[in-house]
Amino acid sequence: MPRSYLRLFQAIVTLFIICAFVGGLVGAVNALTADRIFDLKLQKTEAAMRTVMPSGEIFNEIGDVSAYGFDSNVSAFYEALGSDSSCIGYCVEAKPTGFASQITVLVGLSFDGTVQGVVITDCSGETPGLGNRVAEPAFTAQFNGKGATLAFSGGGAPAANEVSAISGATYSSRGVYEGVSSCIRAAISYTNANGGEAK
Amino acid sequence: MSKPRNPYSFPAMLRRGIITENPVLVQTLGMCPSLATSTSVSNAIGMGLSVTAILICSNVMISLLRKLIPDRIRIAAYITLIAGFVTAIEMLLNAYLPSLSESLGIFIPLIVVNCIILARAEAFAAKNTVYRSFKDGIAVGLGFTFALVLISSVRELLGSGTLLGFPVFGANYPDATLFLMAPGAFLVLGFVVAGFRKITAKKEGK
Repeated sequence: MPRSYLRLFQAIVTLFIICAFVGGLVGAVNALTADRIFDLKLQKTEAAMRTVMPSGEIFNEIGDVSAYGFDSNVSAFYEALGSDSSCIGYCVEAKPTGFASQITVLVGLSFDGTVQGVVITDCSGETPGLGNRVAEPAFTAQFNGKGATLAFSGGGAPAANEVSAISGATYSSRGVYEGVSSCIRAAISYTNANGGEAK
Repeated sequence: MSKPRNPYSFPAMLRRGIITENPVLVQTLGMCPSLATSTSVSNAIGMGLSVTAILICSNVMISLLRKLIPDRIRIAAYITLIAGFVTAIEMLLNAYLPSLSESLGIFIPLIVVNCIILARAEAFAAKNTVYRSFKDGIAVGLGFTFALVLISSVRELLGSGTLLGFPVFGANYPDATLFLMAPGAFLVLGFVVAGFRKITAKKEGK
C-alpha cells in the first residue's frame, strides 16, 4: 500500500475516534441532563400559564390545531381547566417577530377572546433597555380586558381598545401586539369551532 | 531581574494570562463575545467561567492527543473536540443554571468558534505538556473573565446604575441605555483597553 494511502487512512481513523469520543461525551451529558431540562421547561411554561390564568389548575395542550385556521405565529394552544376540571379558558402562545428576533408571548384568554393576562416568556433577542422592556408589566398589563377590537396606537393617548407602544421600541411593541391579536383570533375561532362554548 | 524565573511556573503563567498577555485587553482576541456578553457583571462572570471550563478541557484534551493527531487534520480535530465540550457545558448550564443560560443565549454555543480557545489550542496546547496546558487554560480563562468583568462593571454601572444587580446610584438614576447597546460596548472596551495599557506600561517602567 502506498504511503499516502496509509496517511489518509490514519487521518480517517483518528477523526473517527475523536468523533466517537465526542459523541459519547455529548450523549452521556445529554442522558444526565435531558430530564432536568425538560422538567424545567415544563415548570417555566406552567408557571407562566398560572400568571396569565390564575384560576387554571391543569393545562391541556391541544396537539393538532390545523383544523382551526390559526395565524401562523400561534405556536401552542392550551385549554385551561379549573378546580372542577371544566374548561375555564385558554392559554395561547405565539411567536411574533419583534425588532431583531422572535418574541414569545403567552396569553390567557376567556372563551370570547378577552385577554386575562399577557406574559412575555422570551424576548432575549430584543435590544436590552429598549425592546426587552416589552416584558415589563407596565406594558403587558395594557392588554388585560381587551378583546377582538384590540388595536395598536402609534402615538398620542390610546383609545379604550388600543395599546400604546413603548417609546423607542415601536417594533418590539408592535410585535407583541400582533402576537396577542393572533392569540385573540385563535381563541375566538377555537370557541366557534367547538359550538360557541367550551366542550 | 536578579534570578531567572521559570516561565512555566503557575504564578508566571497567571500573570501572563491575566495581565501582560491578557487575551482581550492585550491580544484583542474574542472581541465578539466580550462586547456581547458584558452587559452585566453576572453575565460576564458566567460567560468567563464557561469559557474557562471549556478552555481547560480543550487544552488538556488537545495536549493529550498532540502526538496522535496528524498535522493536516488538526484543526478539524480541535474544532470537533471543542464543539463537544461546548455542547456538554451548554446542556449543564441549561439544566443547572437556567437563568444564566437564558441571558447568555446564543453566545454559549458560539464559544465553539471563539478564537481564544482555538488560539490556545494551536499556539500552546499542541506544543506543551498536559500539565502546562491545564495551567494555561486556567490562566487564559481567568484573563478573559477578568477583562469581561472590567468591561461589564463599567457598562452595568452606567447603563443600569447597578453592580451585580445591586443598585448603586439609587432609584432615581436615569439609565444610560447607550452603554448596554453595541456602541456603548465599543466605547467602554476602548477606554478600558487604553486605561489598562496605561497602567501596565507604567508598572513596567515604560
